[in-house]
Amino acid sequence: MTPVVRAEGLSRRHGESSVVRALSLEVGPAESLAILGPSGCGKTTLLHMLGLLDRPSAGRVLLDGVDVWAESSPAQARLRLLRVGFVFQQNNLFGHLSARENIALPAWRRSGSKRLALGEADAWIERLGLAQKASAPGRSLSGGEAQRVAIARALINRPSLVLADEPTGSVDSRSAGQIIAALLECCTAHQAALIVVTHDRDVASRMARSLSMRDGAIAPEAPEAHEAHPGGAPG
Amino acid sequence: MMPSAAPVAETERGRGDVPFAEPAAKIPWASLSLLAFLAQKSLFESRLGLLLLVAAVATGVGFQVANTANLEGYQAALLDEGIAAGSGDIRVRPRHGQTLENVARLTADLARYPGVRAVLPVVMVPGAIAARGRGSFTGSLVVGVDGEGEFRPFRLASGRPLARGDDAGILVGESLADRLGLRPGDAVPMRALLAAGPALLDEERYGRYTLTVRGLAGGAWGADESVFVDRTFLAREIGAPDEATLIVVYLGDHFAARPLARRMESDLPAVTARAWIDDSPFLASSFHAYQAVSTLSQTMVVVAVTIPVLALLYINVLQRRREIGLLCALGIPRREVFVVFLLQALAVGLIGAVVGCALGYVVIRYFQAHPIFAWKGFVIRPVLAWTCFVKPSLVVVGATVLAGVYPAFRAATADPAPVFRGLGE
Ligand SMILES: Nc1ncnc2c1ncn2[C@@H]1O[C@H](COP(=O)(O)OP(=O)(O)O)[C@@H](O)[C@H]1O
Ligand SMILES: [Mg+2]
Repeated sequence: MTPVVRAEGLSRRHGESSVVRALSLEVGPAESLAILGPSGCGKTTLLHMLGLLDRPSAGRVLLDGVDVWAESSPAQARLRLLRVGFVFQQNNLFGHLSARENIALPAWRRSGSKRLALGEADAWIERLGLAQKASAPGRSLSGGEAQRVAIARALINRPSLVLADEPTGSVDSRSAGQIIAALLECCTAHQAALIVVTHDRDVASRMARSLSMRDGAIAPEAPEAHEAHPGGAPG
Repeated sequence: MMPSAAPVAETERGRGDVPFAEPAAKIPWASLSLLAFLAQKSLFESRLGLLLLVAAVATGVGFQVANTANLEGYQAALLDEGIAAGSGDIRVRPRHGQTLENVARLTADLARYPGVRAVLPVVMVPGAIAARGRGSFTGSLVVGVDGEGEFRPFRLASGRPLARGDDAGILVGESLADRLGLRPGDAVPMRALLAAGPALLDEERYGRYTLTVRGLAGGAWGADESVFVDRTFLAREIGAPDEATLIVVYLGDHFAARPLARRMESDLPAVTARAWIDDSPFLASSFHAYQAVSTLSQTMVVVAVTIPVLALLYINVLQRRREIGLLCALGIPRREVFVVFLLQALAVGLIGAVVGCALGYVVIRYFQAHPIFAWKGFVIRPVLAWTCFVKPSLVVVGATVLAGVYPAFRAATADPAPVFRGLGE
């Protein structure tokens, strides 16, 4: 099966220090991957390079076969809009927009129709059990609610690749369970590849695969397979 | 908690069928509504910022609207005093000799030019008047005019105008009347030298009259120091009923004077015709001063609005780095981020202009009630015309949008990576 995302020799330097070193991995459709590792080992940097937010110093990212960092800036914006969904650890939302508007935003930009976009957002609100909070401003939502809104927004344009950077890092364990369930469920349903950075072993264990990073590279110990899954991460 | 059905049919879009790039450098019209929505939400989120921005723009517009209205009023009063109540838009004089002949025909000819509102022949001779009962005469220009018409080379300060054919009445210049203690209704002795040129000092042609003061005259063109009598009466006394010293032409549009004067000169070789702007250095330089003050004040308003607006919009962009990063992460192209912030500048400009116009209106009404200059019937009041609102508004809105370009550019080109780092950690 062709991978959704494939990183080849990705590196990121800040001045003298190498934050990510020649890292390669691939993730297929409906596959989920957890990335573990100590703080400062380069997990966020890796995710940003995969999600077109931070340009690699070297290496390539192939998304559905397209070398994304070779594309023009408008094309990259379009890839972010249509192919990548990003969930940050916190502060994901526009505080002055309602939950519904936050979710609808990428669909509005994609379809050019506010009505259509709000319709799609309503379906996601229903799906993620946010009906009571639909018109609450983003800033008034609890951590768990905000993350679910961010997940709906990341998924509304049905991207090929969903990236979540410690999505449960600032919520209680009950919310964490809901968030991870929502991510897995939706990504599987939409055949999206899911990469989750986490400190939480429980969260990692719910992903199909996991890998550990150390000092900007994949740690030497063999990647742990939680289920029988084809296609391991090279490296 | 989660129904497994996807909200959108899974088959609607297969992978890989979405074009990676839209046509270059184009913002789809449909997404303008999204950009306007984002701009509006962002702008109204920070009430204090919006208030300060609108206040800066509104102050600039309000000041300039009131200023323009006052300057327009000043210019109108100046031209009115100097032209409409003075020596007219075009002054027609004999090219050779002292007097114009065939005045009736010449007047009719001049009246046929386009834009001419009135043609007024004027007879002027040297003379003198005295207060009744006192012997000493004061020298004065004796001006014979048709004083009944709408256009006269003076402003009636008090009393009533001269009726046509009134050979017993006189209007006295305000300053002269002040010195001689004359009031309407007083009888006043007058002497006039009833000739021009070589016959000027011929004692035979010395007219003595006692006339009744009908009113007092003021105006920019020496009217203060002159006396006015009926032209037909004076011309008859001189013995040249169809002659005049000067013909004054009044136009609807003061600024049509120069080309029309040239046309008259080339059509009528016996006369010279000069426009007010060429004939009256005082008026011309006052007018140029008005233009310079206008331009200077406009420029200063633009600078005074641009600097705080630029600073406030830039602060706004710095405060919104997280939102800008999010827009970028969600796939809003940079040029659309630019538009979001430029639209905010435009909105600030438009709201500020509306508030500023309201402010300007109030100030104009105040100065109409309390004129900045009033002296003996010469009053400068601001002009309440829509043009006084339109130009300052357009200029300030333009300046506001221009001031928004740099912050919007910074928003669109900000490196999002550090911001995302802040979001992720
Ligand atoms: N702009 C930068 N300049 C210098 N060092 C940076 C910059 N951004 C990140 N780093 C460093 O890169 C390393 C990896 O950061 P990060 O990817 O956030 O790690 P993680 O997400 O695994 O905690 C850290 O040591 C961090 O200090
Ligand atoms: Mg991190």
